[in-house]
Amino acid sequence: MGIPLTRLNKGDEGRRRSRRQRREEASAYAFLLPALIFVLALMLYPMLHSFYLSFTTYDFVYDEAPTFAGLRTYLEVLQDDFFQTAFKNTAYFALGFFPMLVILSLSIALLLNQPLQGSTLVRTSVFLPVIVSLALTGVMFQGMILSGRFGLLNHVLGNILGLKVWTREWLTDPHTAMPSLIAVSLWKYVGFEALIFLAGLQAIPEALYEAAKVDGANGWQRLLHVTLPSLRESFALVGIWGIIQSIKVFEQAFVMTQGGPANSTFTLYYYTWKNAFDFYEMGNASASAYIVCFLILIFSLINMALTRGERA
Amino acid sequence: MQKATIFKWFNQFTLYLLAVFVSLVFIAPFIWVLFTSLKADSEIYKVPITILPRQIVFSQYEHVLREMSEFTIYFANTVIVSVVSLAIVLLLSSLAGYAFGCLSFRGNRLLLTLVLLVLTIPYAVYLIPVFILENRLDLVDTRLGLILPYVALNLPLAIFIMRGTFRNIPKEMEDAALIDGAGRLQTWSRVMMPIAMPGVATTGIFTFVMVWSEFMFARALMLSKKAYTLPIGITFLQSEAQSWNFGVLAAAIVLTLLPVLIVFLLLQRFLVKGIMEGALKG
Repeated sequence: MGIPLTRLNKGDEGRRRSRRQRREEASAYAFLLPALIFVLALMLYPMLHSFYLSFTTYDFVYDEAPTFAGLRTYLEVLQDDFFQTAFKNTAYFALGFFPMLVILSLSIALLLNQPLQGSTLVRTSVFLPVIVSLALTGVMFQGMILSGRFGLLNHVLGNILGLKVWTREWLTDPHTAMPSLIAVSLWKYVGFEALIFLAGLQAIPEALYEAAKVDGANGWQRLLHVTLPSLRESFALVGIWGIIQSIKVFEQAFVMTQGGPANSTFTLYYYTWKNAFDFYEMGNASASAYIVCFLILIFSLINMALTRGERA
Repeated sequence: MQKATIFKWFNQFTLYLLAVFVSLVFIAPFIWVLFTSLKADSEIYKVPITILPRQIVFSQYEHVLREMSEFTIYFANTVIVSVVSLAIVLLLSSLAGYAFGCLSFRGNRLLLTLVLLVLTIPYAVYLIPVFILENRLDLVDTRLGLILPYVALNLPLAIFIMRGTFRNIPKEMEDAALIDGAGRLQTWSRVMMPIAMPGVATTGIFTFVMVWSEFMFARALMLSKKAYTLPIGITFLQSEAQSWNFGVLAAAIVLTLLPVLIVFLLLQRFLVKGIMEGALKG
């Protein structure tokens, strides 16, 4: 990491920059300009605009312009019954999804790290759902896997495993709707996180294991004292991805359950969507979008604190 | 001695069994959809259900391609939006990535902050103002209205990958070209870009997968049927499922998946490399 730092600071050390450096800087900006225009106009400006909107009331259909309301918009959102339901549902989703995501992806990474014939094939199949859009995943699972009469899951349970009592309409039963969403999300995301863990596993020097063996550590001890501590960076990264996916749940519910049955899968991000594009309440929608942002930020900071190295 | 070999053999066996089971869980839904798409209606609705198609027929695909004109429109929209966005992202990120990776200027560090912002901030934060803006500019329901935000949203990560690629190219290559009297732009296009092609492939597959599957922006900004992309169109096709059937749905899913699948299988190593190297950098 030494080289980039000196490169970055070159020319900033108080002495006057030479003409050559100034020319280099000018061409750098020229190379950057087209990309910069896009990012400024369609990301930075919208970000600030919606931040402003989050302190206003703005009915996009009837109001000429947003009316400043200060923190009242946030208060109104926080006191909304639908918001509170959505908050609880999102918490339910996150508590089910996040721990399973970490455990499953780590286990699969450990499996993929074994010297097995054909492990590339396993890796490819585990990774395959990652490239499928969430919407299409939803359509696939609602239509062909989780549906009552012709779904694959009921077929496997009822006709192959002989567990007819377990078969049901998975997505319209209020007890299984949210667990189903969690399972589908795991199916979709585990491959990505497993790959991050795998990268971490492959970076652990063999010598560490040799040393542990010499010290007489068995398999479990090696996992606990060598592997897991060496994966700190991977945990940090999997953590942040997992937190983002846990909090901004939307497409799964939008496509598979429309928030039902009885609002049991109506999530925070769905609430934002409904406010913005069903009710056109852009003020409330922006406020709840920033609440989602804020939650992601808080948990990311906690994640960073937990996975930070002792001295780093 | 012998006990140890048996134990080892048993261990290997369990691992293989586990590996097969894991692959099956992830791949079974795809196989099920594929098989269903190849069955005739009479076979799909037969009780008890069978998994393997007894007779392979392509009538479901014919139905989707011949009789469902909407599907072809969604497909064309998605291809155009994806290809144009991809081309612009690749060009702009190669330019900007070169600046970030090889040139020194003030503000360089801002990029990393920007990348992290985009990756962590939910799309709704951008989408609401973009929706308002595009309504004012009459960009709703136009392909340009999707291409513009798609380029912006995918640029930061693309630039980040390209910066890493350019930075790893030895400085001597660039210096040699500059000393020979080539301008910056020429050095970039003639010397640096050919070496940076693996990075372009990584950026390309990331961007393509993202754009091909994007849902939220397309759902909010494309309001009439003729403007839908596949991720939107297919959800509507499915909610009309009463009037048509599983075989057609399965065929539509397979056709939607096919382009990404082909790109993925061709460029898999770049994607995997991208994620694994990105992971190590933290």
